[in-house]
Amino acid sequence: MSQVLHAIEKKIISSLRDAPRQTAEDLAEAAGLSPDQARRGIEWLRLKGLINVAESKTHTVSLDKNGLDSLERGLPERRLLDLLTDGPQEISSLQKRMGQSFGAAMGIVKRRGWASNTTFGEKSDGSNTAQKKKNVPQQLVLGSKPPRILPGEATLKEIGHNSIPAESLDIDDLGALTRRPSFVVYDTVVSKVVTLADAAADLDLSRDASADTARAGGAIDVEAVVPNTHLGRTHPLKEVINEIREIFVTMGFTEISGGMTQPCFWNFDALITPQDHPSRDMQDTFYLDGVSASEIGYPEHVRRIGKTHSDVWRQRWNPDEAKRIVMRTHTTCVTLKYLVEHLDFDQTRIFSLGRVFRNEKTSYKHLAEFTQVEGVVHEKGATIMDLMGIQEEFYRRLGLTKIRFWPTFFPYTEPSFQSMVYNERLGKWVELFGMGVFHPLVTNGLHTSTPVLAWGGGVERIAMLKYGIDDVREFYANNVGWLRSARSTCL
Amino acid sequence: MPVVTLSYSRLLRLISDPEVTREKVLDLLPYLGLDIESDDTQTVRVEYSPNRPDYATDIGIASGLRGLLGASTGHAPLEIADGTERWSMHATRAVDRVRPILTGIVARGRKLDEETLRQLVVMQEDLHFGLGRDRKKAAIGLHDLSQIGGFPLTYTTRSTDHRFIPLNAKEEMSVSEILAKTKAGRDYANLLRDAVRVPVILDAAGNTISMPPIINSELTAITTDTTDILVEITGTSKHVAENVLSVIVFTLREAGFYLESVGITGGRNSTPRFEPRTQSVTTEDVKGRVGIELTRDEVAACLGRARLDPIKTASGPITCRIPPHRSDIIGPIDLVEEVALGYGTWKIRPVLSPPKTFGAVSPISATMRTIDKAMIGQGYLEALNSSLSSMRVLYEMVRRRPSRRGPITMIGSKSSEHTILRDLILPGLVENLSRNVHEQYPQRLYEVGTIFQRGKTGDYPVSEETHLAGVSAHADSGFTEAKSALQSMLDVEFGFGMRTTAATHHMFEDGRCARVYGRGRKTIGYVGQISPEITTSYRIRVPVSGFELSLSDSLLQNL
Repeated sequence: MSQVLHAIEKKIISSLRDAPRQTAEDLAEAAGLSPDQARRGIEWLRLKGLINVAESKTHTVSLDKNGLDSLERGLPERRLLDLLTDGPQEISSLQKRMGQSFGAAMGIVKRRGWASNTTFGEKSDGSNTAQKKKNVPQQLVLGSKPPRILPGEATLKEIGHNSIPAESLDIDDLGALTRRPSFVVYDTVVSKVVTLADAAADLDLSRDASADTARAGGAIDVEAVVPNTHLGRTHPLKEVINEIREIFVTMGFTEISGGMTQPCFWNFDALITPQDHPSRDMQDTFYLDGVSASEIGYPEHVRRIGKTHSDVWRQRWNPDEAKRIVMRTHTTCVTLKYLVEHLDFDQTRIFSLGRVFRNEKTSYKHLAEFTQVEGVVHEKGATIMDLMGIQEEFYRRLGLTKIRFWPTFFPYTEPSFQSMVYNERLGKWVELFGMGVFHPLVTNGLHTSTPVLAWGGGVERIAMLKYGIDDVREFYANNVGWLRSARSTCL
Repeated sequence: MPVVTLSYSRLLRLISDPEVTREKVLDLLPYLGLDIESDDTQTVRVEYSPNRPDYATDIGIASGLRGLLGASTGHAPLEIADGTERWSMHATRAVDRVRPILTGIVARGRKLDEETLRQLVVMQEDLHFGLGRDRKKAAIGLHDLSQIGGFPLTYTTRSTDHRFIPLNAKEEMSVSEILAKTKAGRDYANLLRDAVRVPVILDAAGNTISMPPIINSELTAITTDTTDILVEITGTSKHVAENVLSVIVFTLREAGFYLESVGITGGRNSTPRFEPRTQSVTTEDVKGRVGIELTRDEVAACLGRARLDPIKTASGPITCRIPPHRSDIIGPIDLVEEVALGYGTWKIRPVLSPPKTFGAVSPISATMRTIDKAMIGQGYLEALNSSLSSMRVLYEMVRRRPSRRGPITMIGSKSSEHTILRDLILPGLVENLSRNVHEQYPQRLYEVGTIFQRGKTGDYPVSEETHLAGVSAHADSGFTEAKSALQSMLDVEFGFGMRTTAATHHMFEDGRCARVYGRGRKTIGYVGQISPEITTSYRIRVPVSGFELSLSDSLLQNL
């Protein structure tokens, strides 16, 4: 294929013919291009194999806050020595005049022997301990003569307000500055060095692009590689959330939502979780400091729940405990509230998608806050078989077909199962949603004898399978590179 | 949930069925309700549910597997010889206030190998933590019967000067030393509620054999040479203590020990009777919950395979004797579950029936979808941050000050990044930009999420609101871009004409910040150029503009 070159590309090549080895910045200047044009042109030519691009790193040094301050006012030890030229000075007054930098300055001048401590009126043998105890003012007096230019001063001037390649500086003199806090900042500058590739040697730049275009009947190099543009996108996790939402809606479910902060009543008590149950511990659940609800539910419902607790757990039920506010540990609290308000429906199919919380240290597999999906069917005659049927259909629509149900235990459903799906990439069965029929204690609390099927789990688990991710924290790290490029693989 | 490590060779020996292979065991374990954590050629690690403490040892698990295989079914009643003449324990009035409950049993005639002993100790800890509520309601002591210096034992209290050699120590220590220096002492001293005198169990010779619920004595420690064991349990709840004892009794019996009762007296305590309870279930209960249709005989057979003890009757509900160690079985629903397990849950077939309802998304989701569309159309990437944040991100780095009543704070958060609830979204987005300075610009991020504020007096104490925030970072980013992004979104998607007036805000540069109004006088948001001091301290080298808008007021209600 004949090479069709853009004007920018031609400028870069001809500039490289004059000077065969140039940085991207130099090229832009030499070829009369903007930095962005040069960047794009270099990228095109690299992809066409007409130039070689090598990256070289330079370490640069610039002055930080304290360094800039010393550039303006002199190094702290220089300022201290200046103050001492008129004779010994009391340490307390020096301290006042120099402020925070005094300590470091005194350390340096004493260590180098340029000044030393003396006590006013001290006897020459230095044995007058009684006088020392009386807090006689300590003084600082000049000692051996300091060099005309103190260590670090030359480098300070040399750097000034610029960024200087570290290799061009006297390393020992620079050391006198780097040891101090906030004096210098190291930075790494990556520069691209561009050279012509062999393939570019015989290119005829004089050929006019428009002539080529005309000959080819208006064609440009349509096969040339072009860069990606960065799309605006919804978050990859949100894509999965939206997909789940759509599956639910098409299966006849209505979405509900509710607060992330909940009184213990809705989060624990209404599910008949005993008030001394370990899962209610502050070790596992986020309680809000000093915050309590004054009202927690419908009086009749609250009364019935309280009675169930005392009957079943053989301990007094404390309404004040139920008023404490937690970050919800599941979305079932929202479900329960909805069911209490919609008991008269013949068939209820609802779902929720929302954040839930655990007081946990975050790790590659645990988050303190994650997204839970929950589906609920409240319908006469509904059984475990129906629950399994809905699960299978749900997973099938997500692209998961190898499914098993293992019996398990959950505090507020019975019987309970967990669905296991086989993941080819990991080569093992992975636990997805937990499911079960609400325990009669919970449905009695709701004042219904109609079965309630419920299932749910973390959306991140599914998203991890979809995006092939092994660290769940990636979803909330907002790494722009990943947000731009994340691609869902087949499950 | 607790995890137990099983060795295949031991497990297969306990199942003692030559046809059962390692693969068969691995297939069946999940259908007992045991979750496989990991496995290799020698061992398998399973997680068991807190309602089945009898699965804490391979002895209990083998019993369950034999049931599922049909090799042994039902549950033979416990045989406990009357030992009350020889063995007795008495609780004095002194323990009433601190830890009144006492119970126990003697198990004899068998040696524990090292592995069984190890599992028994693990089981003891799991029982302490689960049923025992971290030793509060019940704590277990296992003792070598032969080392006890005579019966009756006395359960009473002693002062903190009292001395004995605690388990795994070489020398005598005083009670106060034990509480201060041993791990168990430090962990559980709170259960004694600063009592001046602590509970102890003394033998007839005056030796201290235990200081419940903290530690046993070294004197009666059980070893692989022990043939006769005394189990004592103390606590604050009689039925929990007896439930815990029943699980240990079950395990020791399955391990081949024979059992002798211990006479228990004093206070509300009495010799435990281990009487099985009965519970009934009907074929309709099973069909109604699980969906499978079984005859009465089939239901009874399933219960037997679940190692329960169904009673043969001709008609009516199927009644079942519940062994004392199955305290998790309380009502008919628990038997329904046992029937399903005994039936084999892998045989239950999913059924899909069409719904009678029409689905719908929630109004808030619908609004969020519209906003997503508008923001993506303007080239923004969606970010997701946690609702939980920190003083550093929400206030210090963006130069804001918390309101007079302070931020809403989590008690005892384990992570320093998650200590308070966010009241704005924008600070998190600026922090996100600071972590992406190496990525290509322009960078535009938006987030729709919940923010939290203190409720008005008398209302629910936390008010939650949906906010939208956006940031744009690149060399030419400025006030105009941010305002125009927000204005276009509101205009095109919601037909809402945005109004602004000049304002000041900690996060925005003076003179480049405006307040956004909805209908009426209420402020619904801010837009502006993020203060360069903030971007500098975050080492962001390009200008950033942004906005934050409350959706609850502007879009969800007023439109």
